[in-house]
Amino acid sequence: MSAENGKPSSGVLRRILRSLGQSDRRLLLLSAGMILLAKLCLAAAPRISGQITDMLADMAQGGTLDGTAFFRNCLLTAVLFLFGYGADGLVGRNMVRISERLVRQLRVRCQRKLCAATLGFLDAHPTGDLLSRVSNDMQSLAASLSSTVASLLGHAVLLAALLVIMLLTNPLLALIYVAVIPAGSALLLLIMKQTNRLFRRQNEALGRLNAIVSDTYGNHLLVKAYGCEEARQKAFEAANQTYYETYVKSRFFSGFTIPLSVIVSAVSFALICIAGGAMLIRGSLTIGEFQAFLFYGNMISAPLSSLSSSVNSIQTGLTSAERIYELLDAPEEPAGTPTHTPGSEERAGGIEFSHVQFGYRPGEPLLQDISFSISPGQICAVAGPSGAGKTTLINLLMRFYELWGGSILIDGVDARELPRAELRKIFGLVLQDTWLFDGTIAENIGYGRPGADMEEIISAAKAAQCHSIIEKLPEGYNTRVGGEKSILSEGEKQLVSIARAILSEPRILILDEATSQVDTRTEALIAQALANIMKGRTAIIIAHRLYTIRNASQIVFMTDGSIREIGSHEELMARKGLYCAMYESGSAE
Amino acid sequence: MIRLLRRFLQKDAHLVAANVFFVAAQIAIQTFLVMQEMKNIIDRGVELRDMDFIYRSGGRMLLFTLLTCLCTVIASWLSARITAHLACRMRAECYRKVVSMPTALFAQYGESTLMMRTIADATQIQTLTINLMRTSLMVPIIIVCMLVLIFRMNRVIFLILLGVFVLTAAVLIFLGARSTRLFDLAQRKNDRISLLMKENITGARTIRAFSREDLEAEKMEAASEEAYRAAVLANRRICFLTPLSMILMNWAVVFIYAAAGSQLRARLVSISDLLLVFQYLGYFISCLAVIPVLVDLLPRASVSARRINEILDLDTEGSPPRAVSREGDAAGEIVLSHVTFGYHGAKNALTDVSFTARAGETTAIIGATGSGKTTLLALLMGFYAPDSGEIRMDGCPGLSYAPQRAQVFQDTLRNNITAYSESATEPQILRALYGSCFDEVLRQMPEGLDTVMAAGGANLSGGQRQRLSLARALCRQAGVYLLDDPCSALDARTAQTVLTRIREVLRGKTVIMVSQKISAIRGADRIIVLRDGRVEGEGAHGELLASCGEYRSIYETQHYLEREGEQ
Repeated sequence: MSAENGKPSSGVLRRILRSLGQSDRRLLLLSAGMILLAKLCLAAAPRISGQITDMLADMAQGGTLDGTAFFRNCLLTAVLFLFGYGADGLVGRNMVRISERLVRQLRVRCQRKLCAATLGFLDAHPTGDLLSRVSNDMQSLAASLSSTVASLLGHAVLLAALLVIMLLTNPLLALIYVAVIPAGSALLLLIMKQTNRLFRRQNEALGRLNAIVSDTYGNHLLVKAYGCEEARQKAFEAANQTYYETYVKSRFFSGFTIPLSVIVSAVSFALICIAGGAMLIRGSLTIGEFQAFLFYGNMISAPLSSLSSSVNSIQTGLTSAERIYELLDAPEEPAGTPTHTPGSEERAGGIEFSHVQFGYRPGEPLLQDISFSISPGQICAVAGPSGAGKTTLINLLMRFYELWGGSILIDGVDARELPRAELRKIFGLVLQDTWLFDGTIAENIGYGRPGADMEEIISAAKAAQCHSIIEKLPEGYNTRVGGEKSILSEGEKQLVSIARAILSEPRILILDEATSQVDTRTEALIAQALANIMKGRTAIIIAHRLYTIRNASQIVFMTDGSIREIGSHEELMARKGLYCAMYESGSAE
Repeated sequence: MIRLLRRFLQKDAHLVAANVFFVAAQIAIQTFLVMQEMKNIIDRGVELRDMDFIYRSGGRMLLFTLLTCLCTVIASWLSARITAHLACRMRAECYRKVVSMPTALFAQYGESTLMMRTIADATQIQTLTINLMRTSLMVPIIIVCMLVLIFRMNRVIFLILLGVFVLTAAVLIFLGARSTRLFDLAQRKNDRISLLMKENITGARTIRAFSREDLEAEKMEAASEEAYRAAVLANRRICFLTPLSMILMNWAVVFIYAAAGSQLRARLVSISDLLLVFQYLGYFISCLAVIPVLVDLLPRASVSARRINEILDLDTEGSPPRAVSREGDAAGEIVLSHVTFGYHGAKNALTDVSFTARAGETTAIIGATGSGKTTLLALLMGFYAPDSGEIRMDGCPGLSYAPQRAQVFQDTLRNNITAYSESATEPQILRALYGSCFDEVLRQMPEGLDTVMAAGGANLSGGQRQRLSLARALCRQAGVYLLDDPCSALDARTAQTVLTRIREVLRGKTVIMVSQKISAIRGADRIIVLRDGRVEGEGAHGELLASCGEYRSIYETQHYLEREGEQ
């Protein structure tokens, strides 16, 4: 991932522009035009007001005041400021709209991508990384687009305009700013570079503090049980103190940028006063021009000091954008060429693996020439030590991954010839890692079949042995689950997931370690209920407790990506092979 | 938020006062002295054509500037210290509160939000405070300095400026009024998006398996539309906050011009006075850059302050229920008599539970998921008090407890093992590692006991983490050991070894072991069978097989094989 370190490429800018709608691109252009005009107005205003001062000075020395010209200039100054700053507000509002619309669009696209990307891609990226792309990066992109882009452009335009107008008014005085302020800015950057080191140290200290607090809170029960609050307290206090010290240091030294900028503007102020004074004596400068120059001094320091931070912020935004676009570029599950139109024909649920080859990484085959078949209505168990390739079979069956070679036939039809969604509707899948989304329990069970009514949901829950558990919850089936807090235990979540799969009435049910956190008696009850519900349907069960699969009509025993033994429990036990050895040790581990 | 700041700033009141003093001094020197020199240059230098005076005046300007810088540096140190100290104490107090929380309350909040309140929210307040102590503080001080100076100079101009300030304040209040609430709302909409995205990532397989991609897309479209609206709404007025105040401040110049004619003619004010006033205004305007920063910070900080206050206001004093009475000097006998307990508002989790765990014996508790095993352990550790009945522990020299899943600290293996028994000696550590069969894992570690564990135990398997948890419990020298299904994640062979070694290491200690597996507990001196929170049977393995139907049925589902083997 190139965006992790290093600078964002220029290509991402083009992509952002392309992502904006036509009307937003026009709005962006319009905003840029407004900024240009507005800054010119702001640069011109001090000159006009300087002229007013000249008129007044003239009058104070006994001259007459041209009432219309005076009034006209006052009005002009007021209008220039009104437009100059008013445009800032309008542009700000436009930029918020543009960036929020962009983010809205990117969010929807990211979500689509998350649902369409190959599982190979998703599995290869930690959840935290993906999540940070779609939430943190998204917000940083929005922030940088909505505020920094406009202000950076505005600052640049203003600087240029000020320089031109100052040079035109009085080149000598302009030179003072041209000489002093960049020198000061360079010094400022130097300090900032130094303080960056301190900030890094501060962040490290924060990280350590974070780790300690996380450890303590994560072990709240233990810490209390053992009464070692004090020992943890000591560790916490030490880290807290370190963070305190690094913070004071970094803030103190970064505070030096303030006096420095004070000095820079004071030096230029003093020089302008001295040189301006001399010019006033000689008469080569009017008092109004002098006033305008002092005003420019105030105006020019702000854009200069924020220029570097703006550039930084834009860089952060672009890096974020690049990380988002990287996600959007993720490979999608190939559409394939579904030649088989799903008809209404009754399919019984027979499965045939024929010479299947597969691996997760190129050049590292995991499954080699797997062939076996499951006849309709059969309960087939897959057993073997971890890493044998049991879950991989499911990944291939569901077409989460594409085969390297061979084929999988479902009721005689090659799985690749079926549209992916149709294929997946054949199966009801329950995984070991349960997934409940933020919603009520009823919604979570109903997820399996859109439009299911409450009665159907309850009967599915009963079959999965979780009806009585749900009834005991404070709001029964309307209790919210998922999200940050969860009131269900792992085992209970597994039961809810099983209910969901039961409700979807699949032709083929797949349980991948689906009852690993459930006690053996409940497991047996579920098996009984399933036997009733699944009558005539096919089921594939992966379990690490071999007791669970004892009643399967066929057991496929795998090690290291290949099938070692196939047969019923009795047949395999009689063979006294690997399965038998494992069974006797009591577990598949 | 004000309450929170006041609470933590009180102790450093003298530092805050000093900070205010130096910031004020810096501004006063700038406005009263430095800028005054500019007026002098025009009034005397230019008027009298005295170039020498101008040079001297410029020199004084630079001198005063150095003085300002000195003040700034001191203020910079003060504000850094005040802020760091405030945040430091806030974190510490938050941390203490959380640690002393009763278990039920802790669970109610959840680890992640408490974490966030202790660290992230405190950092947010810290950022706001340093800003308040530095840039924001300048604004009112400059206003005061300006008004004082201009009041002395000319009353008309003073009134004009006063009017503009009042108008600007009114505009700011009007535009910013509901922004806190609106930004809060926008943030919540963003949080919802994050939650949905997380669901889409973690649920990739399930969503696809049920072909519900369209439903997920609909949810996201609705949520991002809402987030868009909330963001635009929150920013609608805020965008004009800075521009409007800038316009008003600059218009003040025009207003002053309008009034200046008559004042100049009446010699009530001079041109140099006007220049001075404009210079003040320019200085003030450059300080207004703080407004957008505050607009960004304040809503977030006030949300953070509310969350921190909520924790700090909790009354956790004396709340850990000391349900377990400890007396006598027998070596760790535990007696439960008629213990009934239910979690807040729910049905009873335990009903009329009575049994005695004799000193030096192993008592096992077996039962299905949800039969009350874990609740029983929580009561024994005193996390909750029974609703009725009594738990008595005689002369117990301390508890040790091994949960099923160990939290692994990002620290050396040694410190992980001795986390709760800091005085443990090397032989004690090694014995604990032996007892938990972790010694074989240790042998594969490159740096032995000094190997640093990855965050969250990422480099350990589930079984290894469980054994680490066990080792931690064994390392602690206690009279009573509570083991929560110590073999649940272990394969059969390792489990048997671990059980044998536990017996060896904990000889003579009172052990209470909870399990779902008969194989783990059949060797116990006494087995308690729990079902739906009630004691169904009590006795040794053989007795229970003969007398307890529940026990036999558990046995049958698990140990079909053994009977088969016997046949």
